Amino acid sequence: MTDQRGTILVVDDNRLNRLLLTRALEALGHAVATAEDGGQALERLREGRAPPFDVVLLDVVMPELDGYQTLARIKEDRALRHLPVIMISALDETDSAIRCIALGAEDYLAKPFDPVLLRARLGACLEKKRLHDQELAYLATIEARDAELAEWNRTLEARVQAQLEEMERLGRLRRFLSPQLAEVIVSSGDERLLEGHRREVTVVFCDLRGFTAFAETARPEELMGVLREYHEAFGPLIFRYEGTLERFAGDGMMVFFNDPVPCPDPVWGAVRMAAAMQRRMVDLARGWRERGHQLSLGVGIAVGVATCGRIGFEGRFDYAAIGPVTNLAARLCDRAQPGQILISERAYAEVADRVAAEPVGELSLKGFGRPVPAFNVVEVKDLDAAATSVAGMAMDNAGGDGDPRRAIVEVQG
Amino acid sequence: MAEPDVLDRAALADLLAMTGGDAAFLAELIDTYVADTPQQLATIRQSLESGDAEAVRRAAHSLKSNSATFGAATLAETGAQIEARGKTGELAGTGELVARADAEYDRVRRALRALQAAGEPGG
Repeated sequence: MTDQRGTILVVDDNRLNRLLLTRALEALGHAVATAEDGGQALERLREGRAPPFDVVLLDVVMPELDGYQTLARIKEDRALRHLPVIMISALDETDSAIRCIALGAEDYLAKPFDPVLLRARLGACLEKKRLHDQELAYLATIEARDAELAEWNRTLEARVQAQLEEMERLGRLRRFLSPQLAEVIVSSGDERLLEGHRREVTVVFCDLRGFTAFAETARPEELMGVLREYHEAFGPLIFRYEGTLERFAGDGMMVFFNDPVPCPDPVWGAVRMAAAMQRRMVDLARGWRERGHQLSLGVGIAVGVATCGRIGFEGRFDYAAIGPVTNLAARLCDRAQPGQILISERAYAEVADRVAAEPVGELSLKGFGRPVPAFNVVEVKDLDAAATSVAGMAMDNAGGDGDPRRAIVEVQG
Repeated sequence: MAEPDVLDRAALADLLAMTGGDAAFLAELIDTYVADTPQQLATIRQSLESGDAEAVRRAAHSLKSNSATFGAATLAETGAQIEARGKTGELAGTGELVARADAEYDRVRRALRALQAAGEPGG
């Protein structure tokens, strides 16, 4: 077994002893530092030098701070307590050296020094110090692991918190966005999309023809039942075509496209949604008719720039699009006959190649200085399905069974 | 020439083993001892005069310890006796011990110088 090398502090007021021990220890391959008294020794031990000392050779009889006191200070110090101390004592002082061992010294070395004993006692101390260092390193590893675990816990908590916040935001956004869009916004973490801005949007207004008369006479539960069926049927259509629902207002609803999340073909989305609504309306109207209610759907669509953003107050926010385009869509809706989808000239230009529509002339609308040209969509050439006749639904709503075109003409007439 | 009774051979052998047979280092140790011991003796005398028993004890402790290192057994023993007086504080009659230590140190010094000369190359 090769002897371990260490860094040793020799503490002795006697110059001859320091010389002798330094030389002897260096001959064994150790690094040596010396101190002339206890005070100096403690100073050196606390300097925090690297590598730290492995063993202290400590003389008993010294001026000022003697060996006993120095030993006591070392053992009181949490940072130094583990350091092995070998007492240096004259042969006739072994009693005092043994007292030092009771105080925490590791061993003693008698003067004059026996080189074999010096080497053996030092070796034992260095081994002990090595084991202690290993233990410290092990404890440090455990502490590091504990710290790591604590860090993981903190990270986990933060992630749970972030997810809760995300879910809360998602919940808020779902009030007026389709689930897909709400998730897009939440996952992008960019709620600035909801701040006020101007954008070109396609606005869809729809409401029920005959609703006012129905509402005047219907029992409350019947009225609410009809509205519930109506909303439950149309809500999923809004989401499917990724429209933004601004609001339900009784039998009316306003949906817009291209905001807050842009979509590639907003007018087309709006028109297809409107057609799907009219299609869905066939079954709804049939059921209502059986219960004695004459209700049908009118839709207005317009394109234009609006100011969009979140309006309201904490606890009750809506996402709104505000501008002439909203008015135009609302007025077109007002003028739509049962089963009709009236679209503005600009909206028609966007989808002219994909719909069959007929002009309904120039309409004088409240809030618009000049007559406004409008078109009634009678057929939607949906790429996903066979061409859908909107007019057929109008006829069906009206309860007729003849030529769809005629039905339109009849309604318009 | 070394006087056999002044320096203990076994202790000297240990000392030489500690120094790894380095004659120059042994010479340095002897120089140190020869420089320090008269000071220790002087400290003992002065402290006796001033009645400082603790100072007597410490200086005698070093005298004893260093002398033992070189195997100067008689001087180490005298040092131990002086140290014991310092410890108890019974300093009366210590002057006589100091006079003996002075004389013995003279012999030790000469023996060490002879040893030093013998250890030097060509000596």
